Amino acid sequence: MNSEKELYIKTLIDMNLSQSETRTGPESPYVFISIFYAREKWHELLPVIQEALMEQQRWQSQPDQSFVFFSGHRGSSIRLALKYDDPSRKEDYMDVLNPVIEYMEKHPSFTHRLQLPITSFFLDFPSNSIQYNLYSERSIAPGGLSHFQVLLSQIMLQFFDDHAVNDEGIFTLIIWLQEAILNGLSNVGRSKQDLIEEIIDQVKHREHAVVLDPYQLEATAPFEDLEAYMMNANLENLFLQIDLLAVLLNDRLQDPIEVYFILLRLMREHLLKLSNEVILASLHYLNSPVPVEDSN
Amino acid sequence: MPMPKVSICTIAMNRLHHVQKTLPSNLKENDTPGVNFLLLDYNSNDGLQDYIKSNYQEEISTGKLVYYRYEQANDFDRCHSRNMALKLAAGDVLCNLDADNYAGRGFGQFVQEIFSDKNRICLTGLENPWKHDASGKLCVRRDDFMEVTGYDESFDGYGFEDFDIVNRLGLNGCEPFTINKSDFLKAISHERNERLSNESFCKLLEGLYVHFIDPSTSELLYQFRDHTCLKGIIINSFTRNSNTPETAIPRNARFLSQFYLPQGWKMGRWYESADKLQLSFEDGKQEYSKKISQGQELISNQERTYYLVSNTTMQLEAISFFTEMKNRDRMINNLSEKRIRVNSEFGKGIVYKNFNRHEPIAV
Repeated sequence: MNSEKELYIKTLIDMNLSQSETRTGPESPYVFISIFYAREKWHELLPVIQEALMEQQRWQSQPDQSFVFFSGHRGSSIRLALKYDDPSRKEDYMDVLNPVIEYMEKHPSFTHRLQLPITSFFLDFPSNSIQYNLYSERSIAPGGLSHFQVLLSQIMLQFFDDHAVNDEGIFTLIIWLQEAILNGLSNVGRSKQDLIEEIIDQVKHREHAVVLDPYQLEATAPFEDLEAYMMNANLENLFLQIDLLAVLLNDRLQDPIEVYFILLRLMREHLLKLSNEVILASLHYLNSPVPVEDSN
Repeated sequence: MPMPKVSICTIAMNRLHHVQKTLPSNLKENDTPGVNFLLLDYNSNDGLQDYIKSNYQEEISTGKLVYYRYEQANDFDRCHSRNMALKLAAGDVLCNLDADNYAGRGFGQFVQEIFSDKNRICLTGLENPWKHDASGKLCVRRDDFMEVTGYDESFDGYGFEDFDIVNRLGLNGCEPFTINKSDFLKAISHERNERLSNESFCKLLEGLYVHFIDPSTSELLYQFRDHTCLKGIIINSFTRNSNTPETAIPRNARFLSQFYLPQGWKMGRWYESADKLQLSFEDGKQEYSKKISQGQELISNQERTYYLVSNTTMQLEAISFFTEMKNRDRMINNLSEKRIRVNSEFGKGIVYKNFNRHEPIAV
């Protein structure tokens, strides 16, 4: 045993549970930013973020990966996680953030910091403020699965630049996302309808709990066939990439239901913790005879 | 080397609904020679005794299941009850299995095999990779358990008693291993209030208030039925420096508490009239007017406002916070002082075995 401070519980098999899972701050390649701004105005702020990332790409100083999350935790915030593989480039995050700060100063939004009746032991963070490290690498899937999150982040930036980020907008987005995923998962042997029915059944009975940890190596290896970085891709291409990613993941796992729930778990991380009720409603919509409006 | 005998021990205080689900499955899935189950009924009044009597006579007659009843408990005491159960067990290896936990198919045999291969180890459900609610699962050799004098009975309420015993076993040369097989870590998920409702602190609470200071600092005020009260300023260490990216704290640091009380708790008393609440602490008395704003009950004076916490989940969080803070400090003390033996006596009391009221057994 080591000293008492280092006393820790060993595992029977070396699970290689990565310390990086919860790294924040200087030792992490990520900068975890939370932009507190009224949700009703997010669709005005998202194009500013999108433009700031595009500008970085033009100067070839873009982050190696960027992730966008919508969050209602401790106030309404757009979370932006920027990954810089080269630690010396980490300071570049301010180049992305400066236009956002400038925009918020010109167009401040207002939210109440204390909603009554109270639901938290702490006040919300003030609107128009930037906070750091309120979340961690736990929000980002290990290995290749993070590619889905990069794609989803791009879709969120583009989809909501002309849709309000309200329940209706999010519902439409998850319909389109699931449509793309199910297109990738269905085949001659397993129809889309068949898959949806099994998924509905499992969601109803809350049977499917997905744990995303690095030891799911098969699921988390990089996807070599997908585009590395798709800042310039249009929505149509992004949804096709989601479709392709579902196909590739299913090739590995040979279990379309598992693939669906892994990707759903990641969608939930980005989209305000979607409730089971919303997911069920969207699945019923997809399973209804009414044709889904084509995302293309 | 012969296979060690394994006793899988479960304690239940008003958890009949859990035992009805887990016990039949645990017995069925662990029908291995040398593996038996012990159920300690910690003064349940929900019909547990009748349920066992009516349904498990065969298992009791073969010794596969041993039932004990302890009738002196008013409140659930996690550490005392576990110590009592594990001391009563006859196995060479003693396992604690919470009433809402499933052992899993072949768990007893798994334990036998591990312990016949490795000598000075303990198995724990703590920090299992599946994050299943099985942190109470502990398997340890009887000698090792007795040497560390079991769970620390100075721990009060929920939290950290499992970490503490594993730490002390470790300090005593008994290497801890996490059980990492998902099948051995399954549990019935249930609300926190069920976990806490039989504990004394929960029964004493009259009211709970929060005074907001800033996004990372608030003051909690616990009001107890005996007219005492307790207040303390809590700081959220994960968010207090969130205005800069450089000062993140390592969230993976072991035993790091997200919340801390820089000035500790302050004890006081409270007095109530129809529209006023008076709080009296060492630093003076203050009177607050009771109000309702937007459906929120609160008390306020010119200096501050306390909001009544009526949300059950938040109340339970605050109760857990109080006991966890205390237990965490105790655990860290045990660890830093390398304290291995913590109880002068433990698991004591009078129990009755297999419904036999004529032969009380002193543990």
